[in-house]
Amino acid sequence: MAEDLRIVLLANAGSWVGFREIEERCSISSAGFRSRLSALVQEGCEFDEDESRGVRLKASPDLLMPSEVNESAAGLRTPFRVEHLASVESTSDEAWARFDTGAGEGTVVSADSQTAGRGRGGNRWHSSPCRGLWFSAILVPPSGPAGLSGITCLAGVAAARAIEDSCGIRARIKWPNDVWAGGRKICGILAETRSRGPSPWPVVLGFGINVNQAPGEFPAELAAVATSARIETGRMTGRTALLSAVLTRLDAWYGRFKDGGIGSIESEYSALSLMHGRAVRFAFGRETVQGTVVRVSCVEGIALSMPGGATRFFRAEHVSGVEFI
Amino acid sequence: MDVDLVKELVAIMNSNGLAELEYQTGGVTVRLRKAAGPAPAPAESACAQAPAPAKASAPEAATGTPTRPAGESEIPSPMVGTFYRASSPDSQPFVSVGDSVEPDTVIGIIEAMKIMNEIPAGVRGVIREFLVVDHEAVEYGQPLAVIEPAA
Repeated sequence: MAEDLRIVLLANAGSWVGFREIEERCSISSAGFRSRLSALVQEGCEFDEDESRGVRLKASPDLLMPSEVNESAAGLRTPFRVEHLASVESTSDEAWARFDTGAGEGTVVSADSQTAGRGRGGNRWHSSPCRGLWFSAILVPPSGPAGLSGITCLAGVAAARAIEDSCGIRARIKWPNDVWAGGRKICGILAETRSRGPSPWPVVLGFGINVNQAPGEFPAELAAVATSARIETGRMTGRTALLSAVLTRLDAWYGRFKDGGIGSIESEYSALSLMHGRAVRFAFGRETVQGTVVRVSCVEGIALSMPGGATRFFRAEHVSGVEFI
Repeated sequence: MDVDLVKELVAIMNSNGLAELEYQTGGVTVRLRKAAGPAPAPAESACAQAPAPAKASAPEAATGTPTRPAGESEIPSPMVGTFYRASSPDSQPFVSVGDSVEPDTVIGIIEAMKIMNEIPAGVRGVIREFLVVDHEAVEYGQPLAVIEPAA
């Protein structure tokens, strides 16, 4: 099967790839190669070319440089350390495998592509190779199960703020921690934990952030519900810088959570919420409810104005599957 | 102390059938516990409509424990959340009544605010009964299933 020139060059960044090899791996003519290369230059890629040695990728917004991310994370309180892989089934599965062999808080597993990225309830997460950030971080919050809601919320806050600051777009949180921009989902976060009795419970926080997908690059069934930073801004965003930005903010909010509890995230979480005034439907245990959101709190839950006018409160831990209607 | 905050917390307890609630904000911790006895009637009609997942399953748990045959044990919920018996709506349940399980066999998932926790059986044995149904809201410590440990 023909490979994508972009992926071949990214995978060999900094090294020469011969014209003959490109022709064979990408099943591409000389003219096709020229037009594809100039499209990549339009995206911000920089190349060296040499008649005998071929072509060498020097820079690209899609290039994720773990050494640079780790350098920028060196001063953080959480000992974040990124290990970047070409391809895995799921970065969260990989993070748990590492946890089981001794990896601890701060371990981050990132990949250029996921072959079986997971979402909530068995949903697949579509991970375009090198176009987004697909990574999972291990945290071991000292608070045990009682504080886990805070981890969900602070992860959403960190991702939304990082996307806003790095991409220059307005990003808001759909309950409990999807990040939306321009009316569609730009980032999903799925967390997994394991019971450990009274000891701290480990959490693997899996992030999927759509960064540089062009409008046509989402599968048809996702085009109406998913967006990317590039679609929202018309610009490419460097994956290296964005990953650094997420980890920096994750560290800051995680630190506040550890020092001050879930209450210290509350005002930022509520300020970034996309829920206020929206008509929603969700599961509350076995019941399905709908109404208009009048209040959102990561500590307490969601208050809805119900059909008929009464206000009813729904405890955070029992709300699931929230959708806008 | 903010009196409105306490009132609000009491309303939350009533609307959710909670016997105890701890609330932390900044450096302040508020812990409210209801006296034993009949629960007060919810103040508002809106609250009266609220489902009380804890209450709904409590009688089952309360009557279930003393009559449990010797040798059977319960798998308690390690956290508050929603219990799922399968990994997705289209999947088969992780385990069914009568299945033999190992300590690390997953019997269900509890979700709380999109944090997923696979619940292991904890012991080797046979699943005798599920005490909660799929998608049920569960409380901390609530028995999820009955297991007959292997001899």
